[in-house]
Amino acid sequence: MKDNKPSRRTSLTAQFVGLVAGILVLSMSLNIVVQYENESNIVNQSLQVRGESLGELLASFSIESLLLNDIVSLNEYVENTSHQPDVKFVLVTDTNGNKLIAHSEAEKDSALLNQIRTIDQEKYIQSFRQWDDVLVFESDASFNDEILARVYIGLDYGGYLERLIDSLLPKIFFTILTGLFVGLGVYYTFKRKIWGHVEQLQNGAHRLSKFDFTKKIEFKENNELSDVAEAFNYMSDQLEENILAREQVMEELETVNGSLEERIKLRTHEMENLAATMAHQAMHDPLTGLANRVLIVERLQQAIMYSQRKNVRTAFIILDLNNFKEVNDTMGHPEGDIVLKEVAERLPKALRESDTVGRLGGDEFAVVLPETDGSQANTVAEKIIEVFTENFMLETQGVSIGASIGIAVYPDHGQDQDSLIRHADVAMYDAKRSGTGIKVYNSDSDYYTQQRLTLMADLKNAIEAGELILYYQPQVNLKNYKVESVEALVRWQHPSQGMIEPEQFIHIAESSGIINQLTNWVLTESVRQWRAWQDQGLNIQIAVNLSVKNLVNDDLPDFLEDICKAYDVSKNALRLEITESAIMSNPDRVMELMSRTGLSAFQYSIDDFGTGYSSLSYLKKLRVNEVKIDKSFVIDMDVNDEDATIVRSVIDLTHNLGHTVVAEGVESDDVLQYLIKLECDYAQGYLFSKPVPAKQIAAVIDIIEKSSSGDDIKAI
Amino acid sequence: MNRRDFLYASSLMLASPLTFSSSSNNENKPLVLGVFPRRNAKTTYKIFTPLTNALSEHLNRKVDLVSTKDFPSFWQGVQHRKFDIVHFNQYHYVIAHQLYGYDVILKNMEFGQATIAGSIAVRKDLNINTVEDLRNKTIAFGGGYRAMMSYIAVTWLLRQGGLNHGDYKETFARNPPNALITAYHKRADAAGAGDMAIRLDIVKKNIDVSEMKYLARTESLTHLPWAVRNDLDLSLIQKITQFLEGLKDDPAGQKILDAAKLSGLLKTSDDQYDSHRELIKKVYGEDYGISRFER
Repeated sequence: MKDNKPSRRTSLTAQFVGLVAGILVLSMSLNIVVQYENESNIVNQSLQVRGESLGELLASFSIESLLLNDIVSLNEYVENTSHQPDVKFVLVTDTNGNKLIAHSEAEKDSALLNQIRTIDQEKYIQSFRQWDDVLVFESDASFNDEILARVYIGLDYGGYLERLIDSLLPKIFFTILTGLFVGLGVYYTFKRKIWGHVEQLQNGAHRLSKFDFTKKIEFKENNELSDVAEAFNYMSDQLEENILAREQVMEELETVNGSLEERIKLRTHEMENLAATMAHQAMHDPLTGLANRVLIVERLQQAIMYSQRKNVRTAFIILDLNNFKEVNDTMGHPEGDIVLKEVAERLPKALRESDTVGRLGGDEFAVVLPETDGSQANTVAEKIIEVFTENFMLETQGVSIGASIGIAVYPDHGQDQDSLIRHADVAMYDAKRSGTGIKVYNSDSDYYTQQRLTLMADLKNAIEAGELILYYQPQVNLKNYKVESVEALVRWQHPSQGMIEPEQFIHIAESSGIINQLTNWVLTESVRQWRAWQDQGLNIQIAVNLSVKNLVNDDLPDFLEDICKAYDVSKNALRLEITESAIMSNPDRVMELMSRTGLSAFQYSIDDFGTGYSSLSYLKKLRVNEVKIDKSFVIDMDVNDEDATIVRSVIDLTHNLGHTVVAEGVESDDVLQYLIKLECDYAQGYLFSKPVPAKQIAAVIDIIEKSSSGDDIKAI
Repeated sequence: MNRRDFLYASSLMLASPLTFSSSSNNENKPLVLGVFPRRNAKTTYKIFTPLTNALSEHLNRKVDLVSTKDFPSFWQGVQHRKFDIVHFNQYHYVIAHQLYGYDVILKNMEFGQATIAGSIAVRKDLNINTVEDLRNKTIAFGGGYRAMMSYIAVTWLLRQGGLNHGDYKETFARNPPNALITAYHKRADAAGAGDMAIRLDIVKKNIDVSEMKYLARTESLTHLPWAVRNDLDLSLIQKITQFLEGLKDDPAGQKILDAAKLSGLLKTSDDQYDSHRELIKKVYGEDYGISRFER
């Protein structure tokens, strides 16, 4: 209990008793004082009256005695008067001031009287008047207006006061006694009647403080204190009930708390773990467990600082997974995540303990190589490439994932982490672009990286700006040399860079997330163009390239439906081309997408066939209409037997599956003839025509179709 | 009611006619002893009660002591022969013997003397050395006209000194001691009183007697008498006389006499008051002033 009581304890009983007794004593004392004053006044007045009365009485007695010259009798009167206890002296003088009779009871006064018999009157009187406690009264004994004698009576005022005080002393004593008795009585009564009960209440409070409800407070009397006791008992009962209820609740809470504590402990542990995890996650990639960009940058900074101190080099590697997009897009992110995790497990095997490997995001990884120069970094890069040689085993199949590695070295390629990262990235893209696998940063390659970033920014505006244009490349039926379809190939008429090939910006579109927008434009333009050609009497099918991302776009079916309706185009007008690798990245998913309402009516081609890992069973299942052999097999098949064999096999396989075959990349007549010989169905390539704008296609088709044997077919 | 009135009433009651009897010969009837108011009634009763009681006891007969508040009352009792035994002054006796049939039996002995002289006392400091010096002065007489020593004797002294009535002023004190006290306090120039008065305790108590002197004194005369009614039984008279005279012969009697302020009571006869008669004649004339005071 907070102690805010005064440091000095004062008993309530003592206060009360002291107050009552003090008031009583004070009042009685005041009474005594008042009484003393009153009685003093009364005494004074009485003495005045008495003195005057005595004087007059004696004077009246004196008259007869004086008239009869009976001094003896007068003497007796005077003597008797002087015997009165308050009479200090009596003096009778004649008119000449001669003392006739004088009496005083006090021996000393008698002696004084005797001594001053010869002293004159005034001095005699003065001697008595000098006493403070003597009141002198004068009376004249007159007869027939003649003063016969003067009577002086001295009353003992001091004696009166002494008697008064003596009379008051018992009162004072009584007052003190009364005060004591009252005090004792009040004390006893207070102690017995009040304090005793207060003590009971106090003890009761102490018991309550210890939650002891066994004993109730009982006062026999029926007064205010018994009311307090009653209220106290009621409070006790209420408190007991509340405590019991509280205890019950506490028990329940304890039970709950017991589990809650466990849960809290567990949660605390979890929180700690989570905090640790979050702290870890703040610095690590959640998927792979590798360091994230933040930690990579931090480690790079540290390595740079170390290099600065030690005057050594630090190498920074950025590697990007090849074909990861296709796996991710076709097989789905779970499969992609498996690849990433696998990469995360493999990479450290190529590294030192002191090296830091991390994932920058997507399919980009980075490695910080302290105390490593360019040559050493290149060696490490080669080791990294080696770890990618083994296929990555997914749920359903294994995939081959490669890596493009860019290397930047401090201080050669940058003085800080930002420049090193950027340059390593440039080198990586250079490696990817060139297909070399590993590239050490060269300032000359910066351009392409910048160009890429520029293109990315411009591409987003290009669609709306009308900078895109479709070119069309005819697909010639090798049996009749008829152009039955064309492939739509998007070109970008960049306002400053000129015509940009799709290879330069399609992957940018895919990586920047505008591929659907781009594809939608291509589809719209194709449908429009088909309608336009239809109106011109040109009935040719348009083949449009789709990526897997287009297929997974839920809006695609409705979009195709809408544009076909808008231009009154049947779904046969379009043939949707999907690369083999894209299809085979997740063939079940692709088949499912192709079978969706709205898309199932369209014709499909497997594009770039031969570059993926087609499963023959899937080839059989796929709802494709044709297979387009990748140009890499066609272009030199006339001089490359392997390519020729592959082409032949594909043609046969495709025919066996009931599909048509299109050979891409026909650029020579020899190849054309070979294909004809192999009974390839269609051919496409520069031999017939490069992709041309829509307005030129009619002319191109005319030229091609007018060529009957194909010998006259020249690359247009 | 003051003390005076009370005493007066008491004395009246005591002096009621019922108390008196014309004959005292009835032995069952109380004897009445009258004492003249030489002193005040209280003192008189006080000092003579033991004697009265002793006499009563001796006579085996009740004796009532009577003293009045004033002389007229007392003299009335004498005139009416109320008293069986009476104590008064010499002049009272002369008149009482002559007119009312009282015979003296005893005389006072005070201060060891059975005689007393009249005297004139003055303060020594007043330069009064002769009686003649009292001319035109005030003389305080210790008794009234009937006071033998205090007035009659003193008047004779004044006549002897050449002062007649009118040559001086007369003032009367209650009794001889008061006359002396009056003169002492210069309320009078001289005091006329018996020469023994100055020796009284009451006088010494009130004044310094050394400041007084006798201016003149008469020859010593027989002291105050005790007389009986002449019709009392002789044997009774003798008993009374013997008893009272015998008081001085034993301690008990002496105590009684001391209480009465007496040295003793001596048997006396009428002829011992002839000198008084002569002195009285010189002052009041041949008829002793009877015509002046008794008629």
